[in-house]
Amino acid sequence: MFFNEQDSLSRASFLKKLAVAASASLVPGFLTASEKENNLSRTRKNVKSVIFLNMAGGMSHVDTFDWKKSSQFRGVRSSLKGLQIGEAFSRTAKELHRLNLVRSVHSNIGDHDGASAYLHTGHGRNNGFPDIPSFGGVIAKALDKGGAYFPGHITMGNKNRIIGKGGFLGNAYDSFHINNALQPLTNMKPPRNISDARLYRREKLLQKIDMSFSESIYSPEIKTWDKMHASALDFMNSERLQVFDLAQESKKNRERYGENRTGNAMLLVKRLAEAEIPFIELSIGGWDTHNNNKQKISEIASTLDPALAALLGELGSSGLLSQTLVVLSTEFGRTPHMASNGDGRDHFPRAFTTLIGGGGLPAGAVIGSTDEKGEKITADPVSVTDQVATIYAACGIDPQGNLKNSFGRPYPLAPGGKIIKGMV
Amino acid sequence: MKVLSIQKYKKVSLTILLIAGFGYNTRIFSAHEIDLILESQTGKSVELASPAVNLRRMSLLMRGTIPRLQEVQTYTPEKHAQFAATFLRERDTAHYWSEILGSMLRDRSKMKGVPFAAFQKYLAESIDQNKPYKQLVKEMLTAKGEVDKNPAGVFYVRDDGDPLQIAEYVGRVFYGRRMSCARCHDHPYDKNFSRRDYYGLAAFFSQTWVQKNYTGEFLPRERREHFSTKDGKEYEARVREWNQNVRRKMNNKQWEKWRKQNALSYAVVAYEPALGLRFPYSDDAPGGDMVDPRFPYGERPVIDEGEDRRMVFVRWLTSRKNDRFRKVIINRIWTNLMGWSFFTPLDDWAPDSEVKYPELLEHLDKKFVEQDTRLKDLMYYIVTSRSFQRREMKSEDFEAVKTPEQKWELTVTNFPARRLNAYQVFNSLRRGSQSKTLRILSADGKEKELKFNGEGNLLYPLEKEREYENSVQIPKPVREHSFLSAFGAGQRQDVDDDESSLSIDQILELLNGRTTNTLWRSMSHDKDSVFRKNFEREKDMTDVYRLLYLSLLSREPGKDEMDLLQEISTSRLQANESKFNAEMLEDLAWSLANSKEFNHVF
Repeated sequence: MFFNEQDSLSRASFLKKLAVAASASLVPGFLTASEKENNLSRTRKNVKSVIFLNMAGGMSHVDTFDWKKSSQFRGVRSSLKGLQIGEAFSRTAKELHRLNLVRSVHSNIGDHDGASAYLHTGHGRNNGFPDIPSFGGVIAKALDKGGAYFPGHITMGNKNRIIGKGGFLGNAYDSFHINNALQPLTNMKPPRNISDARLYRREKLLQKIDMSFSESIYSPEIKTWDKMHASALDFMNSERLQVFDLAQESKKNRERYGENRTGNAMLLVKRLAEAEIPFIELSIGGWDTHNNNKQKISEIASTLDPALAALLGELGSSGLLSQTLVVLSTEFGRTPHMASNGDGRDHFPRAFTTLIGGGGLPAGAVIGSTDEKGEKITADPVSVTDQVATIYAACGIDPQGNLKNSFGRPYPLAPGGKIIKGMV
Repeated sequence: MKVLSIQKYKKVSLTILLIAGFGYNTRIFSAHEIDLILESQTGKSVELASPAVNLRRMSLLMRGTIPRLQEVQTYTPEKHAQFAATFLRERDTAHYWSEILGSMLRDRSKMKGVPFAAFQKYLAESIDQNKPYKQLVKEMLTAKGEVDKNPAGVFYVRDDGDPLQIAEYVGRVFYGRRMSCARCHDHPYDKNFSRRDYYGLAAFFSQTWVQKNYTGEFLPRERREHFSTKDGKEYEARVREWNQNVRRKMNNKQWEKWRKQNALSYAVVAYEPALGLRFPYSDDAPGGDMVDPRFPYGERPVIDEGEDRRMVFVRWLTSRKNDRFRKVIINRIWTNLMGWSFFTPLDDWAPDSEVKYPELLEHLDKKFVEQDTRLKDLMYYIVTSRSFQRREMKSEDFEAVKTPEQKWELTVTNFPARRLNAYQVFNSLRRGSQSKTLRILSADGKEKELKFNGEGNLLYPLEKEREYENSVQIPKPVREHSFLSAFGAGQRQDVDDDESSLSIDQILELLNGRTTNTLWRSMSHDKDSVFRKNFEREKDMTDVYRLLYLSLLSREPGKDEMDLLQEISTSRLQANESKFNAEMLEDLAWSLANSKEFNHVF
């Protein structure tokens, strides 16, 4: 059967035919023990998508959402009754009623690596078990609807040791990473100069070469290869790829989010939530303000504030917020007193803030408090493990449950973590 | 299934050989001990793979690349041992195994305070020279001084000289035991591994630390706590004295100048003989006391005062009677070459781990000692066995067996296919395309200036280039989202963190990636392309297709494959076969490189 140039096959549907042909030889993939055993069942199903906004570097709490008089920024009124927040986030301030503010998050890990691992897993860093998954991987697996391949765990911005890791859950739950929101997909299309006829010829040759090989040579990996090949073609041909195309948003909306790196990324986050991608993480860096605290935060906020306000506004007004869990958090806060250089703040894990809401959680609550300086927690402390437990519980995953790691050892999801008061 | 004892089996085999007399090809009825032992265990003798399969397997597993065209054309089973010896002398073998050991040792090309790629160079040269493994380990563990003069010391710089981290990695990599659990609590079910034991091992490395800033730098404060009270006081007095007589006499500007003048160009692995290790304080156990160094599983070492504890440890670790050290590396080499392991995981041989064929492991250990623990000697011994050359595992064999034991035995008597690792993919694409170098391109196609290496010497990581002859030249850890990372090359953050599992990224890279697309184009369009030159000589595309198969798959095309090629290329898309068909060449190259056959070693 030759490709008939007279046929008016569009390139996409042509490739689709190949995908179907490939899938026909689909064999169940070979899974490792820990991939097979870790079935995550859900009790609560409100949440279809989780957005995790990772303020990487340690967001100063007294200058932002736990505003204190000693802040380098003026305070502005927020939509949370009686609460002022840092002026740099004046637009976001108006949307805060959609989420809840937790002012009493704490940990005892003061280095970026360890604190980020803690933030993303609820566990302290553990060198002996390097394949612990980020909660992104766990949630992507729990919320996996199956069907044709499409990434369920998506990360944007900078990565580190823990961000995007599927760990022992298998590489299907490693994140699909996007470096540039304007060009999120690479290697997705064959080169333009290859005609459809040639594509067809290539696949035909490939099938021939593969046929005798897989019919004779055995290995579990070869079966996985078939599955992956089919997944790759699924992905390449997926109609859902449109979700990555920011040009489909109105110009007005693009301007509202901001035509800049952060704005584009946040807009893509919104589109991914609309497409019900289970776990979306956007890391915004630059928060490690050991010096030039005011200037650096202003710079971040210049693009983050409008983008974040736009995101919360749109999620709220469209109703998408009811099925989308939104969490904004950080590794640790920053010292309420200025550092010895006079213009910076150092790491401060003793008290920091998180915004959490959507997904059927209550809205507008303010949990916990710190003293007037922002140094000591005065009510309702929330450990990072508690925070992770709450996120899991919101997704309907039992935080006291266990998974099995690649050594067969039990991996507790959020051991001892208590759900934040009134949240789930 | 009745299994003969090894002794009896040997007698029987030798008797058969004697009775058989002349005329037998002794290479087919070899008396290789590995085969004799395995045959006595499984009750079966293995069938050999075809010469083409054997050559390709040997080349990939020893040198990290598919065979050269002339090797495909000249290899015969009689020359197997000769080919093996030649491969072992080649620099590609040193390159490839420096990647494997580099991954095991978490080598990074760029490390603060270390000359670029110094550790990889050290590993590659050590392998190339066939340095005894116990010598290599000794050099690393007892290293001292500036790392540019003694790159073995980078082993310590990697973990910043932290005794706890060092103990964990030494335990895993050289002793084959994961001990991290015991950092915080007694081992959950191994009664012989308590928290004290963990600290006992770490205590061997207490005297070592890494200076990074300036000559004569003092120990960081948190390490000074681990002196005895008396030694601690003396040390503090020295620090005070220096502060009073040197530091305080300088103003900030002078101090900055002094620091610059005395700055260390490279890190120094420093040795502080009196420095010990204190057991940590915790809620549930008393602490604060000095920990005595203890060998794993409790034996007490004899250490003279002020003696370098690491020397004592290394003597014990590499001693004749410590077979465990040797068996851990034997298992690693064996797994890479044979496709199965004596015990898994490779870095955690627990007391209750199952060990397959312990007599064979014993035998290999004996051999390894005779070979003075030289890795290339061990490799030669393994690849010259029949078992290494056993036939590929076929689907029908696998489907026929039911029990786990039968499935296991199948792996021993038939070679299980597995995916190529990132280094093998890269090097095989480069060789298979008959290109001098392979250019890595990012999605937006940015390229850099071309530079070529000289001949003869080992290749090393290149800091600024983008064209590579061998994957060893790409700095490690590889950049995220780069070609090698798509194929699983790890970030060198953990032991062996190269991933062997398949991902969508790899498939997409092979299907649509710029690096490979550019390669196919250069194969058809470059004036110097071997394929164009072949056509210029033969005037027949069929011969070019054949050359592609030999180059990329190391075999001739089958009849039905050639028939399909004829069919496809004489469609109305293309002209006749005596005209150079660049597009067909590219399409065939693409198909060969995307095939499962290319991407697996079997």
